[in-house]
Amino acid sequence: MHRRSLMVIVSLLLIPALGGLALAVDVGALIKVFGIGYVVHMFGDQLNALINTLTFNHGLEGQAATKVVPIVSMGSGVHIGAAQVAGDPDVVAQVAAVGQLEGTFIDGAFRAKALVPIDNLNPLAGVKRVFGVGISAVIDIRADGGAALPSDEPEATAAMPWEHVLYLGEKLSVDGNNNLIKGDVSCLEVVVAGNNNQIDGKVAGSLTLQGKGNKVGTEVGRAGPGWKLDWAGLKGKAKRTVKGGARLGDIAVDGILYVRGDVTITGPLRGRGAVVAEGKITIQAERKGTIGGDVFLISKEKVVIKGNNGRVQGFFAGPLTVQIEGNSNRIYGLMVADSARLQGNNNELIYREPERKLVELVFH
Amino acid sequence: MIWRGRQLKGTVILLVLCIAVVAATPLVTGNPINIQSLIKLFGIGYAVKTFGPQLNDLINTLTLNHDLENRDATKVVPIITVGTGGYIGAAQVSGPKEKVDEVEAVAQLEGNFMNGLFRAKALVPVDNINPMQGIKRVFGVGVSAIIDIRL
Repeated sequence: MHRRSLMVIVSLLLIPALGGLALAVDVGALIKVFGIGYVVHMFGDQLNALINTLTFNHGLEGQAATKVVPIVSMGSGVHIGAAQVAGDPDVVAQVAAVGQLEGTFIDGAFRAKALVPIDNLNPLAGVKRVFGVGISAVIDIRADGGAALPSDEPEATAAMPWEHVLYLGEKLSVDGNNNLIKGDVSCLEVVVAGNNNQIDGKVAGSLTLQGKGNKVGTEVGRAGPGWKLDWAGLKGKAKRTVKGGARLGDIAVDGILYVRGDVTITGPLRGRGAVVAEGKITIQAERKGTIGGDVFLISKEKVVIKGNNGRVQGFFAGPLTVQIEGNSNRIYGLMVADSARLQGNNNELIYREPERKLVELVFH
Repeated sequence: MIWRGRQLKGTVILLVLCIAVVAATPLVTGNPINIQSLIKLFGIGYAVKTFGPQLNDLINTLTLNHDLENRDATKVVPIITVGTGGYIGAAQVSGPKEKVDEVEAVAQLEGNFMNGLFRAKALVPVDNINPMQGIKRVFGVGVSAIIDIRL
């Protein structure tokens, strides 16, 4: 592993204990990989107390219960900041997020952002307004997380939060054709050798386009450091252990399922957890339903996505190579690894943010 | 002299009518240049006072169209900075009607936390538009929308 990877691990281990100067760098790394939602959950209580102190110091303190939740765009479900909500304790407890609706009125002279306390973090899954709750503060989060990494990022995109679909310590190779990577990419070296591929997002790292008709979003300078997992810690947290050669399909994965060897995923994985394999993970995509789920798929060797026309869901992590061999698959999630090889054609790799509890399960 | 006095009075009335017509014109024609000129000329306070009820309805329609309508009373008031009392935008507040009626402005307090990673703007419904004269928080009212005004 790289020395920079080691720095990130040390930073992560220190997060709970540190305030002060080192914190900005650490939080920056977390925002870059896991997004704003995770950071809001992590620091929400602390921010809540700080805001209440701010109003108290001006003699304008409130009497109601308060808490800090993410602001999500009602159109896309993307996390775009945070807000403090206030009201009676029982209704404040029901608030999962603040939904933002935007409107431009009276010939563009006014732009309103309606802020609605809602009961679900994912507005695309259906939400209800929580009545009797108001917004008492709005919180902007620096998209770069106050990170120390230098960036030539243009102003137009600097304010946009990172949504890493690929966060790789070493190399991304795109050898296939007509693939779409929807989300941001951070990687030391990105080589696109195939044709008509598109990276629809920000790209941090050295980029080489060799094929024809390839498109990338905004190039923003140097890549972030790689990432390393605490294998002994993951093994120690295992709720269940199975032998190598296992086939997992349509089962519940809650907590860590540890596999002593290779494993093949052939169906939906219900629950919230992680499959941690000492060997290779093979995902066999096919037309019927979703393969995988809201789980981390962690391999010590590599992950291979095979098959065609499937819908794959998962968060891939580990010191590994993710190899996408199949064609015309839609893959939802993110990949935190050493390297990735996109060999198939017509695949779509689409960013999806993991839940806070999942991130804590794997990275704490 | 009497005729001159009547003429003067008439001229004043005519002038007042002209100003009234000019001020009302943007509402009728919806000309963006005129609205923004007026905002530039008379400031955010004027804009909020003039267009507040209309904006309030528009925001309520926006939330209604997304099945997220508010059940409480709402109104649009200026956002002021606590330090200078300057007008920096507008906000819709919501709550029980008698409480909303007491709100004259939303006071904004800014704080940077955790090495500048987070910048919080606390939004406090207050009972006076002029913080120099002393303001009190109006309890039971929350902010339900923030409005940027294009100058």
